[in-house]
Amino acid sequence: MKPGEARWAIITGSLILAFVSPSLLTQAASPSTAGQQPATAAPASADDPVDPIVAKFLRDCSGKGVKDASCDKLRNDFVAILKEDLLTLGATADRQYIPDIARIFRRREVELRIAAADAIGMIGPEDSDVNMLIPLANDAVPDVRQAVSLMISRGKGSALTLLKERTIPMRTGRTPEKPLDAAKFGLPVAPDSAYLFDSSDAAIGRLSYVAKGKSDPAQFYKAKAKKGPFKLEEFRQQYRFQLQDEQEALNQAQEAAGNEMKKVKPPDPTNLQAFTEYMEKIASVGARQGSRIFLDSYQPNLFGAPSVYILEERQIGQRSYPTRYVVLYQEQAFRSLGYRLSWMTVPDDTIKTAQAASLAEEKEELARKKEDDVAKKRGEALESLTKKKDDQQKKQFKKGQADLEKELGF
Amino acid sequence: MAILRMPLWGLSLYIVMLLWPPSSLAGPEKALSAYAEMCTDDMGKLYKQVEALESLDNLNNEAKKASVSGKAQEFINKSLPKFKERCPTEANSIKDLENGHYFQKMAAAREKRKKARGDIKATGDNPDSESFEDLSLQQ
Repeated sequence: MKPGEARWAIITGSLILAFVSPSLLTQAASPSTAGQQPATAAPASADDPVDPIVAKFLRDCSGKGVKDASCDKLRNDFVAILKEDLLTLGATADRQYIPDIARIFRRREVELRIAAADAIGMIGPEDSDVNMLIPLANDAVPDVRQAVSLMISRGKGSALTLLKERTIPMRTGRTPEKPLDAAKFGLPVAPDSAYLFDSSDAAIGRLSYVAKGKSDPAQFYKAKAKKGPFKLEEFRQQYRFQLQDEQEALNQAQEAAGNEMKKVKPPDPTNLQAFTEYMEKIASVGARQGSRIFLDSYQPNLFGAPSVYILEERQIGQRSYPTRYVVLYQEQAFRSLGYRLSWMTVPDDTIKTAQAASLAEEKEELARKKEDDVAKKRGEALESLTKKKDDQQKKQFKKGQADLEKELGF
Repeated sequence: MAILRMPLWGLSLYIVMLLWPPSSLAGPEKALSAYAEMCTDDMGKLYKQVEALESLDNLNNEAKKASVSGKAQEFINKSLPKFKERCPTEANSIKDLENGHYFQKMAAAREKRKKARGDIKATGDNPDSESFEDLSLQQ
């Protein structure tokens, strides 16, 4: 082919391709489906088939109190099938499956709840799912909470972002946790409250709850309070030395625990269990401090404007300490009212030690304040004196002027 | 005047062809790669259309409890020859559409989803979680 012919061939070819566009071809062949999205999922149907193993397990082995040896083997198969099923539905990225998958969280099999969280994460939750997802974030098993947190982070929307920020998993493990009994720490729990696992830790003296339905915990604590309500900032200002002492005492306790750990000879790393336990102990010393700081931060976007009721105030050394109090707030992410019971976890003696240093600081601060007050008063007196002098001078000048005018006969 | 219009239009087309930007001539490889890309895009669209129609057929057939709808096959019969004519290099890639394997694959995937949903629904209907009480924040 000559160069001139090639040129014509390409021009002609391009023109033909331009006129016969691919969409034109496909649309001409199927006018009824133009613009239609592929329907990947079948509609809900009551007669969706159920795997015989799943059906048998649910019939013979599900429910409380079933302790049949054959169920153990069946349970493994049941879990494997369901995990595969959850992966199948998750891979469709079809939102219509989310409600069905969410119901798997009502099963006791931890692996299934984790797989369900992964499946919803694959589909991608949205803000409209948030009410359904909130309870899932408070599973009794730490590893499920971790999976749910990951699932939430895969979603899109401001409500989900807020929920993600609020639900930071603090622990790991597959053993279900039990809500701690606040009464053991001398604290009353408001009726119709749900315990929040990740926002509670008795070791740092914090137990958190959300109010169920429309109950208002403020009414309950108002009746029990010795003092309050205070705005959180007001409380922090009024009891700043007490809170500072407590923090200092905690630091000392943490340091002591760290020193104790140094004395213990680390186990042989080949003994994996002992070594893991040892490492966990080391990590937990620092983690507690961090978790306390996190729980006491009360970011306004998550908790609104908290208020505080003091439930017990006790004299330790030379100061009176709020040893038991409750912080009430709006759980913005959970769309509910919430509260955190707080109590002092350090012994009185440690507080007294910390107090000695802070008392000196307080005295210094008082002296400084006194000095400031005196200086301020002196300044004010000086100012008023100057003002007086000015007034007198003005008066004198005016009088002199008037006299002069008189003398001159004006 | 109308007699003059036709030759004028032809002349204009001729001039346009002559003045066609030489870029398409400068690189025949470029044109070929654009052509290949277009064929791949086209093939993707073809599969999506088949998938959508097959789902629709399935819904219709399930509703009527009979195999009466075959829009996907009709579509394949119509558009496949055109596609093969335009993109002969992709003829091998769409074999599964011709021999029906793609339909089988879609049907198998649908059955798998149905079974998965059936299992999950049945399991969700049998709650036995010990921590169920703690999940009821909003109730």
